Amino acid sequence: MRYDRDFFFKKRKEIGIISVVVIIISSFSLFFYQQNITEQNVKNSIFAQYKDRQIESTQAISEHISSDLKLLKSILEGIADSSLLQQGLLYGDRIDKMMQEKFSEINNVTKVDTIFIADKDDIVSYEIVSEGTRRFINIDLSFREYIQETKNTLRSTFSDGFKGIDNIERIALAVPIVNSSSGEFMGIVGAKIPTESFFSIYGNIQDINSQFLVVSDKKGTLLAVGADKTLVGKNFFGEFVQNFTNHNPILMNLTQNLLQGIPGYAIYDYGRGERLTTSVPIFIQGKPFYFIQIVTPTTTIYSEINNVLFEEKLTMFSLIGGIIAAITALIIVLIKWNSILNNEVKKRTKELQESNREIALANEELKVHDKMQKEFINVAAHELRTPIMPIIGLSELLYNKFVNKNENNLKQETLKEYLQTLVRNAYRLQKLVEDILDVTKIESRIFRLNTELFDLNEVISNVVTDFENIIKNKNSKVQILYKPNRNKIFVNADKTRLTQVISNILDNSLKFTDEGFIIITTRITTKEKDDKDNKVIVIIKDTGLGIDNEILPRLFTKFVTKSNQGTGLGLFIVKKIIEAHGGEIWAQNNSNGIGSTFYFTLPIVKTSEIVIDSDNFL
Amino acid sequence: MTKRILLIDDEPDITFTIKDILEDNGFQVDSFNDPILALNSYKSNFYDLVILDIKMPKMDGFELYTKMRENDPKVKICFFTAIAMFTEEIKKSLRALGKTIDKDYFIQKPIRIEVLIKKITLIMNKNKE
Repeated sequence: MRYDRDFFFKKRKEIGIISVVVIIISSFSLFFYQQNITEQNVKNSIFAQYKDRQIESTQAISEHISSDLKLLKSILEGIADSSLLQQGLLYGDRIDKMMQEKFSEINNVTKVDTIFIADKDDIVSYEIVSEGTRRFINIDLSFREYIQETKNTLRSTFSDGFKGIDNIERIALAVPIVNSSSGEFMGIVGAKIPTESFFSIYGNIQDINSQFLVVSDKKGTLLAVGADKTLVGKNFFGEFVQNFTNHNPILMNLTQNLLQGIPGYAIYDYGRGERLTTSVPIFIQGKPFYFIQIVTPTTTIYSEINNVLFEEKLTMFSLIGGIIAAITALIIVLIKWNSILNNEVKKRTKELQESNREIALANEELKVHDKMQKEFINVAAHELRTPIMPIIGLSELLYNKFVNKNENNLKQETLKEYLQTLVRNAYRLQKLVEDILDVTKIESRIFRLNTELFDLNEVISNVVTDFENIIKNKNSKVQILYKPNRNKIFVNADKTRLTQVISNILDNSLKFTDEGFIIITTRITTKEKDDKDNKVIVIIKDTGLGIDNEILPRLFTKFVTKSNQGTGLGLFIVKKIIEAHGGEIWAQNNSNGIGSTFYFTLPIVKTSEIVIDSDNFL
Repeated sequence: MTKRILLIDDEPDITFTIKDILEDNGFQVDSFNDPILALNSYKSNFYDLVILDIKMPKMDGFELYTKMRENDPKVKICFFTAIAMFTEEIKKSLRALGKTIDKDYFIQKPIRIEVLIKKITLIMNKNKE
């Protein structure tokens, strides 16, 4: 568990990156999967839309053609009903003039290359043609089916396709000239329409590779075909066209339905690429005369669809890209944030641990301090009470003797001894109180030095003089040997405290030395490079008992004493004073086995730095 | 009959003071500053009371007590000490001794003469252990 957590913790950056990659990959896979499904749906739907549009446009073209043909019919009917023709005038200048006007009027709207007038025996009496078209005056048109039909029904008739001598496929419209009063058939006004130029107005009949138009008549004769010019005039069901369409059954079926007046559409491929074909009959006055098909290579549809899809895809991609970028940025921010939080937590935890450790340490220190405090109180109590006993005891004894018992015969010597003991113990008590106060100051960290600049030689000399007096008074056999240093030893120190230090060390040496010497020497070490190394070493060597090996490592700690008297505070205070001056203190037993030596150092002030005009040092 | 007291304390100023006080109050007092020396020169069935300091170098009061009891099971021994009475230190030493000692047998330093004499008299008048 722990291991796993550490693992994830350490690898969180990699995990973050991997998750981003996985999210990207899965997003894209999902996207592509969805895309494929929807693409097909979209394709189908767009294709269906396209097909519907094409059906509509086919319908529209069919109506357009129908309306143009109706217009033509109404113009021809206008001619047939004109007063000139009603009067039986079927040729001549006046007819020509009128026909010229009508011909140009018609050709403004549509494409007609011949308008003719035939008499009641179907003989062409007048004909106006467009430039380059042959004129056929006086020829008999009775062999034309539409002429016969017009004559028989006395109704306007649109013809099927036919080819003239010029091999141009045409359709014709024949309008009967019927006497408006008698109802007698007087002849026919007709128009011939070259199918290819006529139907090219409504669509492409040239290029098989794009959307094109196919128009046929009731029999299936092709009047205009975008697929191939050679097919014009051929019957759809004939061998030639069927070979061209490879007998495609779908197209066959579609066309058969169309010729029966049923509009429709089909998708098929007869070997020249897939096509969408929509078919609509062209109705004129409720009757289908011609049939139109619009054929579109589906590749053009699909390319349009693909364009649309491509745009859609692009939009989707940029959308997904944007989302992924946003998610990635979010993840990066989260990872960053997480790492910041982790660091913060680590930092705080460390701080907490640190502070816990400090508290534990402080607690430990407190315990130690508490124990030491108790020990201190015990020792201090003992040491303070001990000298009080002779002071109280002897002073009460004296009081009893002199005041209560009125004894005046007390020996002079006894009295002297009493008083000496009293004074000695009072001093001992005083020394003890001072030491305890010093220790208290040191331990409550309010120990302060009153520093001044002085020559250490003087201080040592003064202490030595005092001790020589003490030794003389005690009749001790110890001799202090001290020769002041030739150089002045300037220290920036607390004179009283240093006196205390030297006194304590000498006192200690004297306590353990019954006879022999206490030798004091000073040595100055100077290094110009580093002021810190400018120091004096004071060496106090005695020929006493030496320091107990059990005591030696703890010599400068509190309450360590081997003497019958003393709290063991003296050397502790000495060490603290020396350290407060920036010096060091240590002690060792002499190598010859006799006595011990104390060393302490103090930083000294370089002679060159001392202002000589001070009176103290002159 | 003059009561005989043996006083042992490592502090000469204490033995000097107490010896004079006790003698002034009619006791006969022998005193030692060195517990070993005191033990070596101990005379059984001679003293009415032994007064022992507790904190002494070489041999402390409790050890001295044990040794003296071996020589003289009947002698009255009391402790005369500057350390706080019945501190952990003393309790520990008593436990080591395997013995309970009546608190009347502990005399606290420093003490006024009057009180000291009363205490000593009280101990001497106690029934033999």
